[in-house]
Amino acid sequence: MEYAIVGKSVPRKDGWVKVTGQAQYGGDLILPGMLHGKILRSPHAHARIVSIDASRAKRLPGVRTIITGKDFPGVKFGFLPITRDQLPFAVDKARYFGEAVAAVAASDEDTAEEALDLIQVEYEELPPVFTVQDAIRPGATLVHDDKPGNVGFTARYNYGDIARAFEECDYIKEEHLTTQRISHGFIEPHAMLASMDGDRVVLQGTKQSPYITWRHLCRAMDLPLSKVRMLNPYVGGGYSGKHDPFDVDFAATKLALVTGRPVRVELTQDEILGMERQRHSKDCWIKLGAKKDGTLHALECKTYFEGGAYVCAAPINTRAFGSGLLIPYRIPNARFEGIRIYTTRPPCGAVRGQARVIARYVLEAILTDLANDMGLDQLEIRRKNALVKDEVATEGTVMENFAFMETIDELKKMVDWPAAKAKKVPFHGIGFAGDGYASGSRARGHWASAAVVKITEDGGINLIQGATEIGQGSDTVLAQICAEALGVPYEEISVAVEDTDASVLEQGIYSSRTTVWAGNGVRVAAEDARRQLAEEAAKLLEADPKDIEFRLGNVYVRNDPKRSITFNEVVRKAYYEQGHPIYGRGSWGMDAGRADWATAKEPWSPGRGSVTMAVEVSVDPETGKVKILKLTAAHDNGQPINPALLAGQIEGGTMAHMGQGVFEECLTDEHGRPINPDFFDYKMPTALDAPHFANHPIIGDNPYGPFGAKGGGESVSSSALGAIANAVADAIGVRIMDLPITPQKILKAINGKQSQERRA
Amino acid sequence: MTTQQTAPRIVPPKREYIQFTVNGIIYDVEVDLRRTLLEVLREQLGLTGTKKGCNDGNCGACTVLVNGKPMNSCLILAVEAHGKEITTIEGMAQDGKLHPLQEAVVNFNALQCGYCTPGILLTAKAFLEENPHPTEHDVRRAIAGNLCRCTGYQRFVNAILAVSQGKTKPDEE
Repeated sequence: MEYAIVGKSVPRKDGWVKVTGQAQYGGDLILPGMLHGKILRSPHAHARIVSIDASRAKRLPGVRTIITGKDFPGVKFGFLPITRDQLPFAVDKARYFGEAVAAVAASDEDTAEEALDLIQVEYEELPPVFTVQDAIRPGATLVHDDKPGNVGFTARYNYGDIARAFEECDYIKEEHLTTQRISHGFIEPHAMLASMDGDRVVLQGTKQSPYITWRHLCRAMDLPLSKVRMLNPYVGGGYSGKHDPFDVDFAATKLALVTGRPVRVELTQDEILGMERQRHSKDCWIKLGAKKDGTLHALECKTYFEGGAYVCAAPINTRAFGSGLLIPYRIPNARFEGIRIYTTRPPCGAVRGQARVIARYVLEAILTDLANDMGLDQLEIRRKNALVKDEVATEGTVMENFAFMETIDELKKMVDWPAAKAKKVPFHGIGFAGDGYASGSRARGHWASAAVVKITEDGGINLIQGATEIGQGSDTVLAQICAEALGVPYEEISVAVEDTDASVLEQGIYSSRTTVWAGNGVRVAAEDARRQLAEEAAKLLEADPKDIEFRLGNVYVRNDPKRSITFNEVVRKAYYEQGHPIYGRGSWGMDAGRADWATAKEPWSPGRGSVTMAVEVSVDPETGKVKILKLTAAHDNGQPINPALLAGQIEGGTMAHMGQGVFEECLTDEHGRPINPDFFDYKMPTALDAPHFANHPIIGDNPYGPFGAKGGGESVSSSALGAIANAVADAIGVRIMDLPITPQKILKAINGKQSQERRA
Repeated sequence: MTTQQTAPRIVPPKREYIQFTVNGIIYDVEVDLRRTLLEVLREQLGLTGTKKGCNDGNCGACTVLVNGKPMNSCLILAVEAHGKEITTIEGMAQDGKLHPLQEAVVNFNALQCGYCTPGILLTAKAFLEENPHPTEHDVRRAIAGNLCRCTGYQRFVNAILAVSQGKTKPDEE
């Protein structure tokens, strides 16, 4: 299909403001009379709060107010009704090092910081629990008195007769893989500005999904939704890490309510890297059985999610993990148990690609090792077990428009497989992995997307919608969809900021859903505006409205393009002569069914991307250092709306997973204090570490997506972690069972292997 | 023993006048001796294009040019900038026209969230002025002090290399 704007790498809507330094982020916002807020955090991983004496701090000149956990109404919030376990600040006890205990608003940051030192909190230390092993031991200290065994959430499924299925296998592989806590690695520190507008709070700052924050924040503060207005400035990255309300959001809101003044609270990187949300560490026992010819037959997986003091989004994590094991390969018999464990560490939540990234890693690792043990080709075993279009996956998902097999075949050509296998260089390795990622699976809350297309009287277009521009390029992609549907040039579209007053709130920016869901909302709204304009144009051109065509600002009669009028003229006549201001409204939502959290079943999603990735690495046998040479991906994201933006998503996501694979880990000491909460010690990939990318989109089909698009945010990079780990295993001939794959672990593995070989 | 009921005292900070040039404009500013250049640029001059990332010299988001050299403005006291010429991101476009690096970064989709972008642009500007014909590895080394979590760096590298060859647009995409 030939489109005018869709499928073109037009420049980003937010390009100019960002390269000139004009873009305003949370920490840049200032209001007259603004106060500065700071948060006092627990110096213990687990301690009862006996008393808080803020009298001395209150007398410090410049201090306006001090709040503690008791100033909030005591309503718990959480992702599901059964997982509501968190209060805005700690009240009776602190459950992790760094949990918010009090907050201060003062005339400047120095005074606020000094006031924190003057707040006297008496703690009674309790025994901490930092690991799954400690937390599940009989008689272990309970993080929450009403959560026996420190179990926060459990998801289970059982398909087929698993015991019999393993008996039917010719080869069975078992592994115990562990993965570490990582941080999102925002360069922009969280910063929230709250101010009062009469009896309403206006809250703006670093939020990825204002709707999610809004719902949970209002619940925990016992405020009606209409009393809080959320506005979004530019956001310095989302990476799934800015959805739910954090202490910084609660602190800013409460301090503004108490003082009546604007209050901005900015966190520091040591607070963010060490005490805010992280990715669950996981302990995964996995067992995979196959028939002689490599047909996968049975899978069993038990995974503990160590996730800190509050459950947060863990039901999403257990679901993403469980469902991530069963797509894109056909495994007819499967049993999964995902158990989310409380510890006295900072709470974990959603991180880029979700726990699906880890599920894909463990499955691709064991699949690779199984194929090697059985002497089978890595791509052949994937082809043999690939789910094909319209097949029903074991957990019930119909693989509509699924092009995974095509991505394997395309990748095979891209890396010149199997010829490349024959040219094996010592300490060089290649690893493969695949995925089939949903284009937005339903979470909680409303699930539709809506938009308003407002045509101004001079023919300009204001696109009002609720998706947050977090860098992924949603403003650009949605403007392209709007322009295409309306038949106007891309440049004519202005995209408004997200505002709970002015725009219909988008459910959230997660699960690679924005292009498809918000994109469809925008498409429907643009079509509504076009229908209204066609009626007006039909009067002017004396034609049937059905025959009116719109393309790049021209309006004409189909089959008679000489009978034409400009877009502006139609608008002007509608406004000035017909009294008809043009507002297109649209919303889009499919009945996806309800999410089944207890069985980790993903609801239906309108599209599913697919990818096969190859990663090539070299390992220095002297230092153990891994160099990622090249990442090659064949992928289907349907019709890309903007190929350059899609590729940017793939590259960035892939590099973040590379960080988890070989560099990053949030470390703590024996008291639960973070020991590397800064970018010097928390090692993220730099330009020197980042690999070369080679991506090739296969234009697959998606009748549900706007102009055939599928989601792209996470769907390609989700395979990277598995492919990287497999490449290292191929390079050194040993599987490293615990992430990250550091030089120390590699050297130990190489030495171990060599001494084993000498003995043999 | 009686508890002291008076308010804790704050020692007034020492302040000093400095004069420096920012983006070609001469500023006379009274600054608190403890303030960094980053803080004075953002809070006193309102130039918020210079971003505060880590505030301890590890991320490069606050990079500005001091007498043409890229520096982390969070590691320089404002008083040290006295008599110096500073370029921030707001001074990179001239007369409403983007610098070729800015153009290339937009055209290559080298930016995403945009938070690290000003720092990388200024680092790259100083780098290309000293090394007009770099290799890809040179470029990667030059921007290795600027962390970016969104892009994977490849597009920044491509954009900077293109500008070194007199181009601001990718050949195809």
